[in-house]
Amino acid sequence: MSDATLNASAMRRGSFASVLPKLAATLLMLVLAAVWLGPLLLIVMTSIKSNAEFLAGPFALPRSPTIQPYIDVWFGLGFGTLLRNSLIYATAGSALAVTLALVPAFALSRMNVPGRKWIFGLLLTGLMLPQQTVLIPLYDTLRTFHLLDTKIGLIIVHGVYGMPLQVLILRGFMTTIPPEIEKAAYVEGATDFQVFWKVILPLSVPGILVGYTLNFIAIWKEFVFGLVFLNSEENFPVTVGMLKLNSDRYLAVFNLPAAGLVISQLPIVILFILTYRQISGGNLSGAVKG
Amino acid sequence: MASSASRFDDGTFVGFARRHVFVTVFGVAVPLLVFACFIGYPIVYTIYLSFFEWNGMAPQKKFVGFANYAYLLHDKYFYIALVNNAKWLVVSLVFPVSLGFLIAYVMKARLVFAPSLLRTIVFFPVTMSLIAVGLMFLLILNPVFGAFDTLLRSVGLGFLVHEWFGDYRIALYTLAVISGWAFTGMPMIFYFAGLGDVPKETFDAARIEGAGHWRMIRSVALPQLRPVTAIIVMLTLFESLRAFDLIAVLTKGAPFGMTNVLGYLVYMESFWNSRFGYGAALSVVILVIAGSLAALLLGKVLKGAFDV
Amino acid sequence: MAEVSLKDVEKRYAMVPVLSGLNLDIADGEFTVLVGPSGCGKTTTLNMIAGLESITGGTLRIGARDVTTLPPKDRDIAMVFQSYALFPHMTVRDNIAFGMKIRKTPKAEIETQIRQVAQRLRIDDLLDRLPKALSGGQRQRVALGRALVRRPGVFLMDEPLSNLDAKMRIEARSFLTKMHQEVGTTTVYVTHDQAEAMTMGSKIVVMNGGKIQQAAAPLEVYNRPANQFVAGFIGSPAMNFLRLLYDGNALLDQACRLRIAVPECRRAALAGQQGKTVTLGVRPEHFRILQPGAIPGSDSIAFNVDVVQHLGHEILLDLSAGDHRCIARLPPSDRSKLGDDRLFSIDMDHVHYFNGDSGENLIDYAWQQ
Repeated sequence: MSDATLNASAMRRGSFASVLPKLAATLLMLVLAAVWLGPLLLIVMTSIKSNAEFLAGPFALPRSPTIQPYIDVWFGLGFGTLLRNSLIYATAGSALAVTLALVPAFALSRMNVPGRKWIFGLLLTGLMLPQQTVLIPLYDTLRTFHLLDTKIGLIIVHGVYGMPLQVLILRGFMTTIPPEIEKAAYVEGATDFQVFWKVILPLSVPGILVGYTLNFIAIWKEFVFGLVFLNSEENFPVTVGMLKLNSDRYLAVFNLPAAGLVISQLPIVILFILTYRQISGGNLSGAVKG
Repeated sequence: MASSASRFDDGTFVGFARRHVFVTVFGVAVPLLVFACFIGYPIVYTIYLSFFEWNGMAPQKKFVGFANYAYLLHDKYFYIALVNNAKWLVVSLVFPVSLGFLIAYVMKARLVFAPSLLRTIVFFPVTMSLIAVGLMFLLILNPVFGAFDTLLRSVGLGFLVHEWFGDYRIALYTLAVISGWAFTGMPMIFYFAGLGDVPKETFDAARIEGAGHWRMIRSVALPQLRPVTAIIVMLTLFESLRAFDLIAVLTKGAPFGMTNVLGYLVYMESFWNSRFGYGAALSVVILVIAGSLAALLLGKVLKGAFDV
Repeated sequence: MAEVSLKDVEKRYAMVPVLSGLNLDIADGEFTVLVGPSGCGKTTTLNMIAGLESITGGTLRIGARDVTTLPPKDRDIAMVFQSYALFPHMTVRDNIAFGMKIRKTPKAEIETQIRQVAQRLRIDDLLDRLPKALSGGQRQRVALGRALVRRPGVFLMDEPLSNLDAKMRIEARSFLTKMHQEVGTTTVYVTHDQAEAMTMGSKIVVMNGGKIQQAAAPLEVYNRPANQFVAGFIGSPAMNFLRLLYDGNALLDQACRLRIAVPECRRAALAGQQGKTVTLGVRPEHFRILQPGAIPGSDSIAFNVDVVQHLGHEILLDLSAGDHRCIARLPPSDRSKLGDDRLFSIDMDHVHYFNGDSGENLIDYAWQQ
C-alpha cells in the first residue's frame, strides 16, 4: 500500500472532514508518545537525581545531575557480573539456537523432507510451550547431566528453546533465495553439504543476523529459566539479579533502582540502535509466512 | 554420499535419508534428538508426574492416580488463577492488539508526522525485560512518591489514586495493562508489515469508491489482515498463558492470590510449596488449554498461514 | 560430445503421471528446442535430463551411458537457467570456477580455463565483479561461461533469453547460435517462444499436455505439422482453422453458404472423413484477396473485414464469415477498409486437413514422400 494513497482519500475532499482524521491522529500520537516515552524519561531523570532532589517530586528536573546512583547500584548489585553473565547467555545461547536451526531451516525450505508436517508441528509446539509447564522435568534433566546452576546448562536450555523460532525465521529467509541458484550448484556437482555451506549459508547472512538479534534480545529478557535453574549469584543474569531492587533497601529512594533499570537496558539500547532497521522491518512477517 | 538425483521429489523417509545423509543427520536427527531431550521428554514427564505425590527431594514418588486432578477441581486458587488468565487475555486482546493496529494504520496512512519515531517509541518496550518493565512501573505507580499518582493529584483527579498493586479489585488489571504497554509494539509491527503487503491497488480502488478512513479500516484493511490478526491473537494467547515475570517481580500473587495466574501458580506450588505432583497436574491443565487453543486456531483460522 | 536418448520416460508426482511415454533421440551436436505452452512438461523434461527431478519410469541415456538414476554431476551436462542463477555472493571468476573447484581441478588449470572462456564470451574485464554489477546481457554470458567451462557433453538451457528485453534477446539469439556452431556441443533448449524455437533449433520438439506432439526440423514442423495443436502453435499470427463438413468432394458450411472444393490429390487422404467434420488449416499468408467483381471460384470465400492492422511491411486483416474467424496477411498495398465485404481465394496447395475430433493431420506426409 502506498502511504500517500490512504492519505489522499482525505486530502481530496479538502474540507473539515479531511482535517479531522489528521487532527485526531496527531492528538493520538501525542498521547501515545507521552504514555510510551513518559515512563522511560521519568526513570532516566530519576536515575540522575540525588536523594535530596528525589524528594522534590518525580517531575522536578534534576538541577545537579549526578552519577552517584549508578555507582552505588553498580557495586551494590554487582552489575559487572550480571551484565557479563547476561552477555554470555545471550551471545552463546543465540549462537547455539541459530546453529541448531540452520540445517533444519535449509531442509524445510528446500527439500520435501518426508514428515515435514510433523516437524513443523513439533516446532510450533516448542514455540508455544509455556515454559512453566516443563520446569520440573527440565530441572531434573539438568540435574542428571550435572548442569544445574551452571552457565553451560542455561546456555543449552536457551539455545534449544530459541531454536524453533530460528528455524521459522531462517526458513522464511531461505525460501526467498531463488531455487535456481541452488539447482545451478547441484548441476555444477555440489553435494547437499556444499550447496548448504557455499551457497545457502553465505546468502542467508542477513536472515541469520536478524534471527540472532531477536534471539539475543529474547534471552536478555528471559527470567523464568534463570530463576529456577540457577542458585549461585555469580551465575545470575541481569533479570534475576535485578529482583533485589524490589526490596526495602533499594526502594527507600528511587534513584538507585532507576539507575539499575537504565544499566540493565543499556546493552539492548545499543543493539537496538545498531539493528533497529532490520528487526522492526517486515522481516518478522517473513518468519511466519514463508 | 548425499547425492541429489531426486532431491526435489517425494519419497519414503529411508530413501530420503540415504540420498541426503548430511541433511538427515544435521537437519532432522540432531534437532529431533535435542528436541526430544529438552522439550518432548519434559512434556511427557510432566504428564507422568501429575499422577504422583512428590516433594522434589524424596527418592520415592508416591503414585496417587488422579488425586492431584481431583484436588485441583476443589482448589479455590486454581479457579482464581483460571479466571485471572481469562481477564488477562481479554485485556491483552483489547488494549495492545487494537491499539497496535490503530498505530500501524495511522502510520501507514501518514496521518501523523514522524511516524517512524512513533514506531520506534512504541516498539522499544518490546526489547525490555518484563522484570525491568515491572520495576519501572513499581516506581511510577508508587502511592507516595510515584509519578502517576502525583500527576493525578495535581490535575484534581486525586480520587482516582489507588493502591495499584495492593487493591485486590484492580491489581490484576494493573498488571495486565502494564504487560500490554510492553507488548503493544509487537502487534504494531506485525500489522505494519501486513499493511505493507496489501496491494496498493486494493486501497486505490476503495479510494476511488470514496471510502473514508473508517470504511477503509473496516472494509479493506481488517479483512485483508485476517491472517496477521490470527497470528497476533495466537501470540497474545500464548503470552497470556505464560504470564509470570511481572507477577514474580511485582505482586507474587498477592493480595490473597488475587493476582495469581496459572503460569505463576505452577511455580508457586512446585518450587515454594514443594508439591511437584500438583504443580505437574496444573501444568498439564495449561498444556491442554494451550494445545486445544492452538489446534483450534491452526485448524481453522490459520490454515495456510504457516504454509507447510 | 554426446547424444541424448529418452526411452519411454515417465514422470509421476505422488502416483499421478504428468509425463508419460516420452521417446526422443537427440543426435550428437544437435541443437534441439523443446517448445510448448506453459505447463506442457518441457521444463520437467529438461530437469529430468539434468537430474534435478527424478525419472519415475523409462530410461535416459547420455552418450553411451544409462544415466537414469545418476545425480546431475555425473551426467556430463551443464545448465543455463532462466534467471541465470549466478551465485550473488561470488565474483564472476568464482562463479565460473565453482564447478571446477568442487571437482578439485588444479588452480593453474582453473585459471587457464577461465581465461579462455572469458575471452570467448568477451567478459574478461568483468571477472572480479559481482553479478549485481552486471547488465542482463553480461549476466547471461557469465551464466553461459559457467556452463561452457565444464566442456560438457550436453548443454541444457531453460529459457535463457526470456529475462532479456526484446532487442537484447535478438542479439543473444544469434550469439547463442554462433556459439553452438563453434563449439558444436549437443544442446537441449527450452522455450515457450515459437519464434525462438524456429530460428535457433536444428530440431524442434513441440510438447503439449505432457506429450511430444512432433519432433522434426523447424521447416518440417512449420510446413507439415503433425496435428492441429502443432499447426496452431508454430507460426505467428497463428494458422486459421475452419471447421467444415466434408461431403466427399468439398468442405462446406451450409449456414453461411461456404463451399471449398478439395483438390483431387487430397481426396484419397480424406476418404474416411465423408460426412464428418474436418478442420481446414490455412496460414494467414495463404489467403489471396480477389479484385472486386472477380468470379467466385471453388476455393474462394467471402469475408467481412472486422479489423485492419497496418504493420508497415504488411497488413493483417481480421475477417469473419458466419461463425468463422480468420486472419489474413496481405501486402501493404492492399486498400481494404473496415466493414468491407471482400472475396478471398485460398492457396489450396498449402492448406492442411485435420481430423475434426482428434486434430490429427489427415495427410500422411511420410507416406507421400
